[in-house]
Amino acid sequence: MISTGVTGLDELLGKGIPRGSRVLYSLEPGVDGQLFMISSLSCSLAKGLSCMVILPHATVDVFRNDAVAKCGSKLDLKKTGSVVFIDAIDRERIQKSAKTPGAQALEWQARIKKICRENKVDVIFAYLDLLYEDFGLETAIKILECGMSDDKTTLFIEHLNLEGPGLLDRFISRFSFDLVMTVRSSNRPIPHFTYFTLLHSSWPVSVPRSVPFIISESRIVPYIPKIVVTGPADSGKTTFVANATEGALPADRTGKDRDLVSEFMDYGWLRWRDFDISLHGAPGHTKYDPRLSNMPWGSSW
Amino acid sequence: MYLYKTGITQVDDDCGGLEAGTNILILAPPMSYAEQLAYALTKPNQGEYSIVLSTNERASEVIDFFKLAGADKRFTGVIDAITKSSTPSITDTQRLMFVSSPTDLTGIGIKFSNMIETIFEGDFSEGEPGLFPPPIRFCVNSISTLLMYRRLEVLYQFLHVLTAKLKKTEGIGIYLLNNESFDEKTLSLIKQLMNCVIEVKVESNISFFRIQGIRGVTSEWLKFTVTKGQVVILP
Repeated sequence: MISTGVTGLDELLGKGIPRGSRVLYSLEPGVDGQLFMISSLSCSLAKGLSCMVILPHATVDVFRNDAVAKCGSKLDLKKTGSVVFIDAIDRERIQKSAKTPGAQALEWQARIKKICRENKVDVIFAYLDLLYEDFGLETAIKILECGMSDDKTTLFIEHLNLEGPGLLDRFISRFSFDLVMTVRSSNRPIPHFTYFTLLHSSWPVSVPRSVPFIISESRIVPYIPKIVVTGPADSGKTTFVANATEGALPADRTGKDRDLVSEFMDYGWLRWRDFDISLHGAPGHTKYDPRLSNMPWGSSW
Repeated sequence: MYLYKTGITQVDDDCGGLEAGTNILILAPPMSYAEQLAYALTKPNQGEYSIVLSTNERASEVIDFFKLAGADKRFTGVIDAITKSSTPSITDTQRLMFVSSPTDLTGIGIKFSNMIETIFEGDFSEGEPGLFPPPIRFCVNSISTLLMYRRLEVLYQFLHVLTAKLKKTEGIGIYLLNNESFDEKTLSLIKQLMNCVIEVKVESNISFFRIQGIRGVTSEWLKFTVTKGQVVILP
């Protein structure tokens, strides 16, 4: 298994991504989801796997600096010898040496095959957009897959999805990708929250499922959205939470004594679209008021 | 609705300024003062914010223009698609962000969102408060360069997202395109994303512009120059 470096995501996937998979990280425009790819690269290198990064849009130096800036000191691409690159300079060379798109595609394939063979590459990390633009989707994927010499070689692709769900359907149905994950943000003027969605998986996980995340200390941190219901005692918070949620209400919340009930938080879970959201009812007695301000942030009361 | 002053009397007096959500395409030949015109329209007024996506010149050069024009640098941000290729180790600040090259639409989109978010959160201008909701002027200098690196269809989709986002944030967008280097199909496709077109021409070393798409504003050719970041209409 290859870890994504994102604890919650690895758990959803069943400890990570099986070797030999083809994975797509699909980014919505403007959404900062590049750390998923970098984090997967970092974990692969930490595991001692031999990696190749294909980045037709940038030079190796730019990528190194960006990756380290994003991922922090745990990723040092200069010191490790187990990563090889094909970058924007190689793309220019290919464009100069091979005149037609067909010849260029063959040149790409030859280079990737050679590098993978010589370095016994276990994992390929590729940025798809310019190859897609140069050769079309089918040929671009064929180019990247030519480095998958055996059924253990894993392919990670990141792309910017400017075409919407139709393009993702092609990855799932036409190209049979093993994992398709989108990174999007809520539809607001400013991102209210950013989330990833497991859209498709060839191994059994509970899909589709969306999980919001924040980036903290160079790590992706998934979280469960929390709604807090406040109000005075006997105002109907318990009923609201019970009716709005789908279960997981603790047994003691069904007690008849409202004073006793108010000693504890109401809570439950609901599923909205493909998000899990927890709902918390705050105790209504005034003696708890000083603690209310912490409730939206704390994980416990 | 917030109205953005342009410094062009014909627009500001007749309409009060540009409506929030307006996207303006400046079609201009090279060496026609169009860049100065675009920057003059982008220069932030009191309480406003400006973001420039620069694919032609370094962030420091863009900042120099705004400084000379008297703009408050705390309200001006630049997404620089030039510098990083020669200085890979350069790092982002709140107001100066760098992407690997003009091909990197993923990076451009992320930096643009980050800047907008920083502005909305009030962390952009070193504690100096601007207006809220923040009026944002956004300039792309230039679409011509982006078209050299990416296909028209891809860029159209990308600009579609960008213009829609600006409408939602109630900002305005100013986009420069060299009309001598691209065919009619390209120009008309890009025009579809805009509410207003400013055409620029040069005759006998004098620059002219005309505005199309703003109701009540003359579409006649007007002689102009730009002095200290201010558009001056010549007699």
